Amino acid sequence: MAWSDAELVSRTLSGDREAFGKLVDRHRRTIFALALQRGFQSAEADDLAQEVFVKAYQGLGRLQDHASFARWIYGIAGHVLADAARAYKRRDEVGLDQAPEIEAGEPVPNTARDTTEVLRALAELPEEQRLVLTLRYLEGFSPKEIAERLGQPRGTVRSRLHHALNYLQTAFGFKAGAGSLAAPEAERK
Amino acid sequence: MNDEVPPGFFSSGPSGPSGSGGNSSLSCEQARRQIERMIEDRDLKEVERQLLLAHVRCCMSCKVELEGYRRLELRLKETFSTLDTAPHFNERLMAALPPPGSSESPEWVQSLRGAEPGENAERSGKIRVAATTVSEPERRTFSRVYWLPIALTALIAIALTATFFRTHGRESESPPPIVANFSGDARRMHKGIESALKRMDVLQNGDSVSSGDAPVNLTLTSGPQLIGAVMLAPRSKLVAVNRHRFEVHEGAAYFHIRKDRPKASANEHFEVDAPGIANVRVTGTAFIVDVGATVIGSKELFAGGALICVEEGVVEVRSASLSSVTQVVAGKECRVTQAGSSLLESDVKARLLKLQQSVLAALPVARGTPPAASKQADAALAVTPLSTVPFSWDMQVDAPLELAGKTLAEGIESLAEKLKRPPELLSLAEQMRGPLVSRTELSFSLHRAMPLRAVLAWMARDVGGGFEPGGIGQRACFTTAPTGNLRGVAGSGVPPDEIKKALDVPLEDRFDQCKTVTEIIERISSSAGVTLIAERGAAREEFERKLAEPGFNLPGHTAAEKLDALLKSLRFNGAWYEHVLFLASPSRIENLTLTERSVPVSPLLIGQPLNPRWLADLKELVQGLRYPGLHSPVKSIHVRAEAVFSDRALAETAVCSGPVELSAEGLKYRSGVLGAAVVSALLSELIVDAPMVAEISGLLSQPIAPGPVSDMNALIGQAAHAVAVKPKVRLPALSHQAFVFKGMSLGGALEWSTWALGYGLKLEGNAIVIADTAECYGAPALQVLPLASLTARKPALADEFPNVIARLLPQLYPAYFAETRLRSIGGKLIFRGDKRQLQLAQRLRSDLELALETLPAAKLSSWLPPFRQSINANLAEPFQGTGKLTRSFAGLLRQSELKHQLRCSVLVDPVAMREHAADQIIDLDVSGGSVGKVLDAIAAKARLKVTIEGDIIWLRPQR
Repeated sequence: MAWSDAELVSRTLSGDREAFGKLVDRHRRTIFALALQRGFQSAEADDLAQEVFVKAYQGLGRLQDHASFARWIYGIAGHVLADAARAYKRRDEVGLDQAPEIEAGEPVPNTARDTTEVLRALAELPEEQRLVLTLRYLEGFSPKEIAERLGQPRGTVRSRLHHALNYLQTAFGFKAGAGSLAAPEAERK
Repeated sequence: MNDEVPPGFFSSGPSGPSGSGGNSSLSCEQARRQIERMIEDRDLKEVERQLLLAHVRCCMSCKVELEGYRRLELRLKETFSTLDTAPHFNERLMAALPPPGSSESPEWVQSLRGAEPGENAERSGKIRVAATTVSEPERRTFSRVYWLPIALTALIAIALTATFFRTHGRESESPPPIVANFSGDARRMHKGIESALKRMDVLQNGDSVSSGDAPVNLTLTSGPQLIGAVMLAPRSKLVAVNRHRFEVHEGAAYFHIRKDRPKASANEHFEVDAPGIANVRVTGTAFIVDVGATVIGSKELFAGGALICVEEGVVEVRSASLSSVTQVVAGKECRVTQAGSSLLESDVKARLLKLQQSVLAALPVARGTPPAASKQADAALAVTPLSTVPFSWDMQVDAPLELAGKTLAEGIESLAEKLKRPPELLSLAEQMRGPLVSRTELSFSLHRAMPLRAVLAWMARDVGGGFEPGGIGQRACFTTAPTGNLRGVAGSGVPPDEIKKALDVPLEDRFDQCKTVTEIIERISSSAGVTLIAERGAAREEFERKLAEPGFNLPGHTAAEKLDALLKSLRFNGAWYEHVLFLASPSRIENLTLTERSVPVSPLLIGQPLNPRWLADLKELVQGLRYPGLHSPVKSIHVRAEAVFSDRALAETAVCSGPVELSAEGLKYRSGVLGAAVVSALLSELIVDAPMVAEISGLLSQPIAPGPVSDMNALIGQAAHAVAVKPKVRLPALSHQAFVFKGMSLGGALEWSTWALGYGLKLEGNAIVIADTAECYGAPALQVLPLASLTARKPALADEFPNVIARLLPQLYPAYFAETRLRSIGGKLIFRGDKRQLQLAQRLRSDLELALETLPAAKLSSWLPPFRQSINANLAEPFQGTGKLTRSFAGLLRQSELKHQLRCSVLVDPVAMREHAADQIIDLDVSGGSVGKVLDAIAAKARLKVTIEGDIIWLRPQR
């Protein structure tokens, strides 16, 4: 039987480090993906994900509602990644275009190229939309489940999903009559 | 989301932003909202989904919308699936977390009090020291008062814990985990110091072993329990990271890991790394990791990669770049490079056997080493080695045996129980018990005894795999891909007689208890005592779909009839393999049953000498049954085989793959069961006389009223007093004297008029119906015209009759026979055509039959039916009019001297007549010409061509 987040938090707080390991296992890919979508390289994203979890571990005692661990750690991730992005401001200047390209003559694996392209497009989305998309397509959660995890109304989640998908459809040229790309400002806060 | 819209289906559908949405009941706006709902929430009800799909099938713009979303989803899923942290993220993180009790520990950690026994004994002591610095008087007092008993308790706890770990083999305290059984000239690297590896040496975590020219065998233990064995191939290097993690740095290693090995936690995996290339996560038992350096495989081919070759169970292979995860099952190889991994189709048996035998030869050495592990090792290894005597996979398995609803592993266990638990079967069951193995349930039970080999093969096929029985020194295994042909007796379209009888029993059950198609099949199966196995594969959804209708029943009375109805509804066919009926799509059946076949043709030869000419014709006919233009005959079956075997139209789509040989013994060809059935149907057709086609025109034998026919209603009106004629098609007006009949019956005129307009006649009840040609005369099929009635009258001319008919039909009815190949086989005329052609052929045969009364044999070859003789004579007469004709086209044809001289019916293409009727023809020179020549000259002026079709003259546009 799989432990719930709340149970794992409680067990961690009672000294069971393995329980925290399970929490890490459960959320690491999402945090890592969010970091990549911020434009960080794989190794940096890995480090940032580690930082997020260390911070979470340190602050776990302050978490009142154990069941809201997911929302809480995504919040920490948001802060950590935002801080890191500021610290690496130069990255904003060079953007993902400076992501290490494979040298001329060396075949570029399609998957790698596609991944970079998709991450680049995701980087254009507001953070809330990225989070919803990640939970949807990386974790496979339904809008209802995402809403429960994030403690938000289902309509909000669906709306974010809708705007994000609409934007990406246009960005990838999958939409009939796709015109110029308008950043999804409507959803930006 | 799996309802794929057929590619190209929409090319002609309506499009545009406000597309009408075809004939579905959703508007485009509604459809788009539904699409968004489906993509975002996937909460569409089935009805809504079907409505949406119906709309999308007809609306290009919504289809594009849906496809766009699907492509986007796919891309997102693919991208996200590749994202993962670097390996050992958790380990690194846990190491990075501040240790309990350290000054960097979060407050909540420091506040912990003896939550867990082992570690917390130590932790509590430290906390206590820390507490001293906090200066809490009460607590300090508490400590002073209880210090001694607490310290004693802690000491006892530590001692007990240590003892517990020692005896239970926890990793931190476990006895030596890796013991060398046989060293050869191997070297061991321990803490940077290299030494020769000796038998009974114990490896520590981080040690490496390098083999020389001989293999090295290692026994892996955890305390007294055996984990497994490793055989390191010659000139290979293995690093023991810990007791459940190894790295193959060079060469190859064969791992045989126990499925039920002791684990520190349920999540512990046995893992093997080819560093920088692959990580192999083991849930099964036996496999090879080969980094392609020395012994096995092609160095060139696999340089820079690793080869994972699985003998038993399932392993999960991850490329080091994490770009791919591949599950490899027994009998398969997987090539891994940094770029990814791919399954290979190569035969892995030889590779496995080579290493495996070395291991087995060495394994007995493990006995006696190490002392704590020996008993367990013996017990475990006693099961592991392969049998040295051949196991009989052909032993009979008695029925009944319940298998339906069980997993493959459970099914094999049931078999094993029935057969007194032979280790070979237990080993197979073990193989299929891994968590990565498909949990698909078996769909059938055994209702008739059959050999074990066959049962296992059918079980494997039922879950989409194959079975390969092992021989001496080889393990039997299941494979992921089904084998091609089913082994054993080749499939046949006909059940054995006893099964036929079994299926003929009444089956009144309304299938009330059945919830799915699979259950219905099993119900029929158990009722009739036969084993029916359906290939669910692509149609799995159909099979597992819950039946919406309670009390569902199938038409028919007997099991055979109900089975037939079920197959038709599924569009499945069946092939009998002895007592098993295997149900699958027609193309699969053809593929699986493709085999050399032989049919005796003696029934065709009864009472007749072997005639090489018609034998050649028969051979050509059968060979010609191959569907033209398709390389794979199976495809043609797939397209056309929805009809039943006995349908004559199917004859043209029969399958004969490869050459056809025909001799006095029989016909030899290669085909599947459907092809065989069609050939068989063809041969039956050759034996059984085709029934006469009804002569509808004969119902209206009265002469037609003279004068042009203004439209078909005029003919219908004339016929009304005799029989009702009902047009089911819209009949055009026939102005300008297009159709003028002379000396013909009303039935004949109705028939020719209808045919000339491109329609046909058929009888429906007591009425004659004018309808589409195909509706009236059917699709082209094999038609057989027996000539026995002619032969009976003039046996001496038997060989001549087919030739005469074959010559006359294209001559008399060029529109219907010019492109028809007529063959003579066994005294019959065979051709591919519709019922109208058969009718014309039958008429000609009747005319010839009548003529034979008086016809001298010598004149047979030049014989013409009377109606044609009459027309020819009429057209050959000299034209009696003036030498130059001036008049309109219609006037010359219908009101000139020609009209009076022509004694037969002349029809003109109605459209051409409307166009050219008023064309003035001036001074048309017809001097000295015959009636036929004059007709030709007039027709040519309107660019029409004169053809004689049966007993009419037909002026049609030249083509």
